[in-house]
Amino acid sequence: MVEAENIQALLKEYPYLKDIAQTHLLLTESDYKKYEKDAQLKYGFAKTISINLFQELFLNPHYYVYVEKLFNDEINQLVISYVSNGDTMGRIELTKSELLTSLKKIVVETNNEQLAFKYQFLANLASFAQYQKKVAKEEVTYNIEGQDYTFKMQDFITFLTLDNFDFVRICLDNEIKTIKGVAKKYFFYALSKSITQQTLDNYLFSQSFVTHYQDLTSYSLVDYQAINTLMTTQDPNISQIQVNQELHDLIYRDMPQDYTTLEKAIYIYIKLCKTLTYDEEFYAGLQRGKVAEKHEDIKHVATISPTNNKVVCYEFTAIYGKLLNELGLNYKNYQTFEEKFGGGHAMLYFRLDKFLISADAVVTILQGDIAEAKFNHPLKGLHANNRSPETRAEFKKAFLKVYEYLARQDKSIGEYPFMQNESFAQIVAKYRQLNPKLPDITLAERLDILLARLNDINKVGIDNLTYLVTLRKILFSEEELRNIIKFTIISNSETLSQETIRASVIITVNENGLRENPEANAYYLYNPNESIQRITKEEIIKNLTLNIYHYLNTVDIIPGINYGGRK
Amino acid sequence: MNQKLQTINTKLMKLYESQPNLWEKQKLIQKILAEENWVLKLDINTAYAILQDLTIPQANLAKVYLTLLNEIK
Repeated sequence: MVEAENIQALLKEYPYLKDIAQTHLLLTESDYKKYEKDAQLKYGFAKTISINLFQELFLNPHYYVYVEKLFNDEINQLVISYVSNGDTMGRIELTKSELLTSLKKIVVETNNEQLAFKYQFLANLASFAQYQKKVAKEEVTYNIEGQDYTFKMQDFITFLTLDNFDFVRICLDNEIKTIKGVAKKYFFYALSKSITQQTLDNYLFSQSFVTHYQDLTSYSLVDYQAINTLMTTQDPNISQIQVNQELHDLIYRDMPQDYTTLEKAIYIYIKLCKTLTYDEEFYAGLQRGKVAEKHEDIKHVATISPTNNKVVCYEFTAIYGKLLNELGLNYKNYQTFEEKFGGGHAMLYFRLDKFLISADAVVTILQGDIAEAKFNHPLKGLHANNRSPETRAEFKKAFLKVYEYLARQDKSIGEYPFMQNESFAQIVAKYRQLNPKLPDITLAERLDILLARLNDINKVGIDNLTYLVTLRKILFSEEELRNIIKFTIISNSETLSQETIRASVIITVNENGLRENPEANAYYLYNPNESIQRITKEEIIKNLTLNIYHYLNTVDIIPGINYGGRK
Repeated sequence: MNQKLQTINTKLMKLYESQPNLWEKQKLIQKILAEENWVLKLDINTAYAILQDLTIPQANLAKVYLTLLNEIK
């Protein structure tokens, strides 16, 4: 009983631990560490406990008190910690079912009669029969999709104890639409609310009962995850959002009439991405100042049209949300930081029958969907977030069908490269295997290609920068981008009118290393839609000093320029 | 330009019919050339290797590569 005395001594030393000692089995640090060095018993999900300590739980009266507390439902789980300098540390947790399953194993291995007796006694307290006796006559009522439904607990138990064939058949057979007179999905929803993981932790259920329960609550057989979610639209600004009629007409103009609501929702998203463009002035202006004020005015949304098409994330989200609402769909506008319009990055979640979808067209500014859709590149911002892989696959199929249709309309780009992207990567990998030694291309030659191309591109606003990012990726290796060529995007107010600013790029090159000999760095200024030009270090410093150039952040600074950026 | 490359590729596939290794390489190139905007989806070194396999002379590689980039609107 050395440990029990040790614990009493601990509580004397730290009397404030008496309360916690009511619910936690506290050990001294040395005892706890001693047990950690013992042979370990694996239990639950990747958890371990000393075999000696585990046996002591039943044989040491001081420890057994906590087992009794657990089976008397005074505590939810048995927690074992140790005390170090007056704080509780470490944590071993055991539920009733974990305790019993492990005890059964120990009894079989040791043939210890005392432990076997304890097992029989405790297993009876947590038996399936006890559970059934406790809840069989209970009824539960849930409001599901706006209506109250009452269920008998016994019906849930009967369903989970069906033989596997009948269980799977009832779940998967679409002809079976109801169970006990209630829509099948509603029945499963109510079951998952009434029988929880804690129920499984507290009683010994058969393996098939547990498996059926897990199959249902993982939504792998029937996807009812969306039930009771987004019953109303959650957007404080919705009444103030107006979508420009011209934009509205353009979005709907070529939409196939026979599309399902899901396909329409996807179509609108991609069409908006193709039509709208991110405001590079907002980007270059660090999302502050006059340009930011304009975008933070919710009335500005109504002016966004196919020709006046520069937006930021919360305007895109506002327009998309409003159009979803027109389709009869509820959504939640999610903004980081503040709820007010423009109070941080915005995206939205919406529900469409069983689909739980998130939409974020500006995951990143240069490579978000609003940029990538214009190149028919794979899109990343519209997802089904359901746990069921079948539901996600169903969504993806609908998404690709709509994207393919829209990509085919876009004659300037071609067809649908996003469709074969994965297999394309595989083809290229195979080709590379047949060409283990790829040709070396000098930095000068690649730089010439870059400069020639930048002089020639003529895309809209920020799409130029997205294109530049792609060129950077294909022309230079990651190591080169770290050491000999750097692209720094800056805010540049040296433009046509005093009122506007834009995003420009300073390209710094030094074949011998940007940091080794910064005096030899060469600098180029790229203003989208203008010819690329050499620029001197002195000119850059002057423009930074005069606040004509601003860094977009303090990390991505121009190499060799000791002005601004991180101090 | 891409169309020209596809024509060369077709000819080379015919030429290499009895040389499985070379034929297989051309078959892969055929699939790559069929990908829209393929030149934007590969590093320049792999793209040059493809052009070399299509028998583009060394002196013309940069010019052809740039033309391919220019053709993407």
